[in-house]
Amino acid sequence: MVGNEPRITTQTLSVIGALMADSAGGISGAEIARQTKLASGSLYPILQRLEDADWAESRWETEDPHELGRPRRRLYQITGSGAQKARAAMREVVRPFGRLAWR
Amino acid sequence: MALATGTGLLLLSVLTAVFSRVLAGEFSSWNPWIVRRIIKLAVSWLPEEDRKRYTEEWQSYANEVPGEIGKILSAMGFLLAACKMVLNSWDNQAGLLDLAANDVFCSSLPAALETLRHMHLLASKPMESPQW
Repeated sequence: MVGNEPRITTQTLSVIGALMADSAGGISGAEIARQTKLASGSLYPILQRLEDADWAESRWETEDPHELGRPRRRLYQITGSGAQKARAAMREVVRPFGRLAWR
Repeated sequence: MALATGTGLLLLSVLTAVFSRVLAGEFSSWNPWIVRRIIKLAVSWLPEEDRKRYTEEWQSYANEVPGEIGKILSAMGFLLAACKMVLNSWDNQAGLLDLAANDVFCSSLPAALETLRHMHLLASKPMESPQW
Protein backbone atom coordinates (compact mmCIF):
# COMPACT_ATOMS: atom_id res chain seq x y z
CA MET A 1 0.00 0.00 0.00
CA VAL A 2 1.42 3.37 -0.92
CA GLY A 3 0.37 5.89 1.66
CA ASN A 4 1.56 9.13 3.17
CA GLU A 5 5.24 9.94 3.27
CA PRO A 6 6.78 8.90 6.59
CA ARG A 7 7.66 11.51 9.18
CA ILE A 8 11.43 11.96 9.11
CA THR A 9 12.62 11.68 12.69
CA THR A 10 16.08 10.75 13.93
CA GLN A 11 14.75 7.27 14.68
CA THR A 12 13.35 6.94 11.16
CA LEU A 13 16.66 8.09 9.73
CA SER A 14 18.57 5.52 11.76
CA VAL A 15 16.25 2.75 10.51
CA ILE A 16 16.68 3.97 6.92
CA GLY A 17 20.44 4.07 7.52
CA ALA A 18 20.43 0.43 8.64
CA LEU A 19 18.32 -0.57 5.62
CA MET A 20 20.58 1.29 3.21
CA ALA A 21 23.73 -0.15 4.75
CA ASP A 22 22.45 -3.69 4.24
CA SER A 23 24.08 -5.47 1.35
CA ALA A 24 22.80 -8.98 2.04
CA GLY A 25 19.45 -8.45 0.33
CA GLY A 26 17.40 -8.08 3.47
CA ILE A 27 17.77 -7.44 7.17
CA SER A 28 15.62 -8.72 10.02
CA GLY A 29 13.83 -6.52 12.55
CA ALA A 30 16.01 -7.86 15.36
CA GLU A 31 19.16 -6.97 13.42
CA ILE A 32 17.85 -3.45 12.70
CA ALA A 33 17.08 -3.09 16.42
CA ARG A 34 20.63 -4.17 17.27
CA GLN A 35 22.14 -1.69 14.84
CA THR A 36 19.92 1.25 15.68
CA LYS A 37 19.53 0.49 19.41
CA LEU A 38 15.79 1.01 18.99
CA ALA A 39 13.33 -0.92 21.13
CA SER A 40 10.76 -3.16 19.47
CA GLY A 41 8.02 -0.74 20.48
CA SER A 42 9.56 2.04 18.39
CA LEU A 43 11.01 0.01 15.55
CA TYR A 44 7.95 -1.75 14.17
CA PRO A 45 5.72 1.33 13.82
CA ILE A 46 8.57 2.96 11.85
CA LEU A 47 8.96 -0.11 9.62
CA GLN A 48 5.20 -0.15 9.07
CA ARG A 49 5.22 3.52 8.04
CA LEU A 50 8.14 2.94 5.68
CA GLU A 51 6.36 -0.03 4.10
CA ASP A 52 3.08 1.87 3.81
CA ALA A 53 4.91 4.70 2.06
CA ASP A 54 6.66 2.22 -0.25
CA TRP A 55 10.08 3.27 1.03
CA ALA A 56 10.75 -0.27 2.25
CA GLU A 57 9.53 -3.74 1.43
CA SER A 58 9.69 -7.00 3.29
CA ARG A 59 9.64 -10.72 2.58
CA TRP A 60 10.03 -13.94 4.51
CA GLU A 61 13.42 -15.62 4.41
CA THR A 62 13.34 -18.59 2.09
CA GLU A 63 14.97 -21.20 4.32
CA ASP A 64 12.78 -23.85 5.91
CA PRO A 65 12.14 -22.97 9.60
CA HIS A 66 12.24 -26.69 10.51
CA GLU A 67 15.74 -26.97 9.11
CA LEU A 68 16.76 -23.70 10.76
CA GLY A 69 15.25 -24.80 14.08
CA ARG A 70 13.78 -21.34 14.67
CA PRO A 71 10.92 -19.21 13.38
CA ARG A 72 11.36 -17.58 9.97
CA ARG A 73 12.73 -14.04 9.86
CA ARG A 74 11.00 -11.26 8.02
CA LEU A 75 13.63 -9.45 5.97
CA TYR A 76 13.35 -5.75 5.22
CA GLN A 77 14.89 -3.96 2.27
CA ILE A 78 14.84 -0.38 1.05
CA THR A 79 13.11 0.13 -2.30
CA GLY A 80 14.66 2.06 -5.18
CA SER A 81 12.24 4.94 -4.79
CA GLY A 82 12.65 4.74 -1.00
CA ALA A 83 16.41 5.13 -1.32
CA GLN A 84 15.97 8.17 -3.59
CA LYS A 85 13.44 9.81 -1.29
CA ALA A 86 15.53 9.00 1.76
CA ARG A 87 18.58 10.67 0.20
CA ALA A 88 16.50 13.72 -0.66
CA ALA A 89 15.08 13.81 2.88
CA MET A 90 18.57 13.47 4.30
CA ARG A 91 19.77 16.41 2.18
CA GLU A 92 16.86 18.47 3.53
CA VAL A 93 17.83 17.57 7.08
CA VAL A 94 21.51 18.33 6.55
CA ARG A 95 21.07 21.56 4.53
CA PRO A 96 20.38 23.94 7.47
CA PHE A 97 23.40 22.60 9.32
CA GLY A 98 25.58 23.12 6.28
CA ARG A 99 24.43 26.73 6.03
CA LEU A 100 25.16 27.17 9.71
CA ALA A 101 28.68 25.84 9.26
CA TRP A 102 29.50 28.31 6.46
CA ARG A 103 28.34 31.40 8.36
CA MET B 1 23.87 -17.90 70.84
CA ALA B 2 26.31 -16.68 68.19
CA LEU B 3 26.68 -20.23 66.89
CA ALA B 4 22.88 -20.63 66.63
CA THR B 5 22.57 -17.31 64.78
CA GLY B 6 25.42 -18.25 62.46
CA THR B 7 23.89 -21.66 61.73
CA GLY B 8 20.50 -20.04 61.17
CA LEU B 9 21.98 -17.52 58.73
CA LEU B 10 23.87 -20.22 56.89
CA LEU B 11 20.71 -22.33 56.60
CA LEU B 12 18.76 -19.29 55.40
CA SER B 13 21.33 -18.47 52.74
CA VAL B 14 21.40 -22.09 51.52
CA LEU B 15 17.59 -22.14 51.37
CA THR B 16 17.54 -18.78 49.54
CA ALA B 17 20.09 -20.03 47.02
CA VAL B 18 18.11 -23.24 46.42
CA PHE B 19 14.81 -21.38 46.21
CA SER B 20 16.13 -18.76 43.78
CA ARG B 21 17.58 -21.54 41.63
CA VAL B 22 14.19 -23.27 41.55
CA LEU B 23 12.51 -19.95 40.82
CA ALA B 24 14.94 -19.20 37.99
CA GLY B 25 14.30 -22.65 36.53
CA GLU B 26 10.54 -22.12 36.75
CA PHE B 27 10.83 -18.68 35.16
CA SER B 28 12.98 -20.09 32.41
CA SER B 29 10.47 -22.81 31.57
CA TRP B 30 7.48 -20.45 31.73
CA ASN B 31 9.23 -17.72 29.73
CA PRO B 32 8.40 -18.95 26.18
CA TRP B 33 4.75 -19.30 27.21
CA ILE B 34 4.70 -15.80 28.72
CA VAL B 35 6.33 -14.33 25.59
CA ARG B 36 3.84 -16.16 23.34
CA ARG B 37 0.90 -14.87 25.41
CA ILE B 38 2.15 -11.26 25.30
CA ILE B 39 2.72 -11.45 21.54
CA LYS B 40 -0.72 -12.99 21.08
CA LEU B 41 -2.25 -10.11 23.04
CA ALA B 42 -0.29 -7.49 21.06
CA VAL B 43 -1.18 -9.08 17.74
CA SER B 44 -4.87 -9.24 18.67
CA TRP B 45 -4.95 -5.42 18.53
CA LEU B 46 -3.77 -5.41 14.92
CA PRO B 47 -6.03 -5.73 11.87
CA GLU B 48 -7.02 -9.33 11.10
CA GLU B 49 -4.90 -9.50 7.93
CA ASP B 50 -1.68 -8.58 9.77
CA ARG B 51 -2.01 -10.94 12.72
CA LYS B 52 -0.48 -14.08 11.20
CA ARG B 53 2.51 -12.18 9.85
CA TYR B 54 3.33 -10.35 13.08
CA THR B 55 2.80 -13.43 15.27
CA GLU B 56 5.54 -15.22 13.36
CA GLU B 57 7.73 -12.16 12.89
CA TRP B 58 7.65 -11.13 16.54
CA GLN B 59 8.21 -14.70 17.72
CA SER B 60 11.27 -14.76 15.52
CA TYR B 61 12.40 -11.39 16.92
CA ALA B 62 11.94 -12.51 20.55
CA ASN B 63 13.82 -15.71 19.69
CA GLU B 64 16.85 -13.63 18.70
CA VAL B 65 16.89 -11.50 21.85
CA PRO B 66 19.38 -12.86 24.40
CA GLY B 67 18.27 -13.49 27.99
CA GLU B 68 14.92 -14.40 29.48
CA ILE B 69 14.12 -10.92 30.75
CA GLY B 70 15.20 -9.38 27.44
CA LYS B 71 12.68 -11.59 25.62
CA ILE B 72 9.88 -10.50 27.94
CA LEU B 73 10.83 -6.83 27.63
CA SER B 74 10.89 -7.02 23.85
CA ALA B 75 7.52 -8.81 23.90
CA MET B 76 6.15 -6.00 26.05
CA GLY B 77 7.54 -3.58 23.50
CA PHE B 78 5.31 -5.28 20.93
CA LEU B 79 2.28 -4.17 22.97
CA LEU B 80 3.42 -0.59 22.49
CA ALA B 81 4.28 -1.27 18.84
CA ALA B 82 0.80 -2.69 18.19
CA CYS B 83 -0.83 0.41 19.75
CA LYS B 84 1.30 2.73 17.63
CA MET B 85 0.69 0.69 14.49
CA VAL B 86 -3.07 0.88 14.97
CA LEU B 87 -2.75 4.63 15.49
CA ASN B 88 -0.58 4.82 12.34
CA SER B 89 -3.28 3.21 10.27
CA TRP B 90 -5.87 5.52 11.80
CA ASP B 91 -3.59 8.39 10.84
CA ASN B 92 -3.58 7.14 7.25
CA GLN B 93 -7.34 7.01 7.36
CA ALA B 94 -7.61 10.45 8.91
CA GLY B 95 -8.67 11.88 5.58
CA LEU B 96 -11.62 9.51 5.45
CA LEU B 97 -12.38 10.18 9.11
CA ASP B 98 -12.58 13.89 8.28
CA LEU B 99 -14.96 13.02 5.49
CA ALA B 100 -17.10 10.97 7.86
CA ALA B 101 -17.14 13.84 10.38
CA ASN B 102 -18.07 16.20 7.58
CA ASP B 103 -20.95 13.87 6.63
CA VAL B 104 -22.21 13.84 10.21
CA PHE B 105 -22.23 17.60 10.57
CA CYS B 106 -23.04 18.71 7.05
CA SER B 107 -24.96 15.92 5.44
CA SER B 108 -26.55 12.96 7.13
CA LEU B 109 -25.75 10.10 9.47
CA PRO B 110 -26.32 7.35 6.84
CA ALA B 111 -23.73 9.03 4.60
CA ALA B 112 -21.24 9.11 7.47
CA LEU B 113 -21.91 5.43 8.20
CA GLU B 114 -21.32 4.63 4.56
CA THR B 115 -17.95 6.43 4.67
CA LEU B 116 -16.97 4.54 7.80
CA ARG B 117 -17.93 1.29 6.11
CA HIS B 118 -15.56 2.13 3.29
CA MET B 119 -12.76 2.56 5.80
CA HIS B 120 -13.02 -1.12 6.75
CA LEU B 121 -12.80 -0.03 10.33
CA LEU B 122 -15.94 -1.93 11.05
CA ALA B 123 -15.23 -4.84 8.72
CA SER B 124 -15.17 -7.35 11.55
CA LYS B 125 -18.45 -6.12 12.98
CA PRO B 126 -20.99 -5.57 10.18
CA MET B 127 -23.08 -2.48 10.77
CA GLU B 128 -26.81 -2.58 10.65
CA SER B 129 -28.48 0.02 8.51
CA PRO B 130 -30.27 2.52 10.73
CA GLN B 131 -34.06 2.43 10.60
CA TRP B 132 -35.37 5.90 10.02
